[in-house]
Amino acid sequence: MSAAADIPDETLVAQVIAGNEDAFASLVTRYQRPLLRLARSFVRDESLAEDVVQDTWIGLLRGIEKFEGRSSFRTWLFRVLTNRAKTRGVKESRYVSLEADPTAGDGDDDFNHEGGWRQPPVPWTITPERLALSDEFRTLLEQALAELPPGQRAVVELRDIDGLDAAEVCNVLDVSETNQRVLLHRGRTKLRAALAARLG
Amino acid sequence: MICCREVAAKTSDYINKDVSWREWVEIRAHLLMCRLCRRYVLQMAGTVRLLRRLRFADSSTHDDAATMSTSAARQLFRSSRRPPPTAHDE
Repeated sequence: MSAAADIPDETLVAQVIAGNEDAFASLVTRYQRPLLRLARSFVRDESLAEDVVQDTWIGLLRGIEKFEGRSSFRTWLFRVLTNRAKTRGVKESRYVSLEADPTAGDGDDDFNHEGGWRQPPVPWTITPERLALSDEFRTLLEQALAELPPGQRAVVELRDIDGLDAAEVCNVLDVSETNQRVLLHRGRTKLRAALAARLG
Repeated sequence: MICCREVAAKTSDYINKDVSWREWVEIRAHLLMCRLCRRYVLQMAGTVRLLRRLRFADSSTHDDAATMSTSAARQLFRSSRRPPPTAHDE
C-alpha cells in the first residue's frame, strides 16, 4: 500500500485547496472506481456514466473551497455525483429513478402460510472465503449487482462495498432511513440468491 | 416465538447489529433451534463479506473506464486552475 493511501481525505482536500495537484491525483485514484460504480446505478449508458464522473471531478475542483466539513468528504463527493447524474441523466432522458424499484421479489415466495420455509436455503458447496480466492467471485457478484434495481444496487454498493453508514447513504441518495433499510435488505437477498444459484 | 419468515426479513438488520435487544434475543433463540434459518443467516453474512472484498479487489483488476491515469487527473487539475481567456489573450 502506498503512503498516499494512508492520508485522510480531509488532509488531501486541504492540500488540493492549497493547489497541490498530487493530492488531487490521490483523490482520483481513491474514488474514481466507487464513483463510476455509483454512476452506473443512475445511468445505464456506460459513456454517460463516465461523463458524469468526469463532471463530478470538474465540479469538485470548482467547488472544493465550499466544502465545509459538515459531512465527511466522501459523502459530499458522492452527493455531488448523485446531483450530476440526475442533471445529466434527466437532460438526456437516461436517468433511472430510485423510486422505480419493484416492491416484490424479496423472497416472500420462499415461505408457507405459517411462515416456515417452503423453499429452504440449500447448503453451499464452497464457503464464501474459498470463493473469494478465485476471480470468479468478482464476476459473479458484479453481474448480480448489475441486475439489481437501481435503488437496491446503489444502497448495497455504498453500504457494503464502499463502507458508508446508513446516515451517509440516506444523505447521498436522499432516501429515508426506512427506505434505505428496505433497499439494502432486498438487494442483499437477491445477491444471496444469485450466489446460491451458483454455489448451491 | 417469531417464525422463519420474520427471521429472514430481519436478517439484514441483524447482521448490521441494527435490531433492538428484544429482537436480538428472539432471533438468537430462533436460530438455536432452526438450522435452516442458521444456514440462511450465515449465507447472507457470507454474501456481505464477499461484497466487502470487492472493494479491496478493485485495486487488483483492470477496468480502463474505472481508472483515470495520474497524468489525466493532473491535466484536469491544471485546466481547472487556468484563468478564463481574456481579450488580451486573443
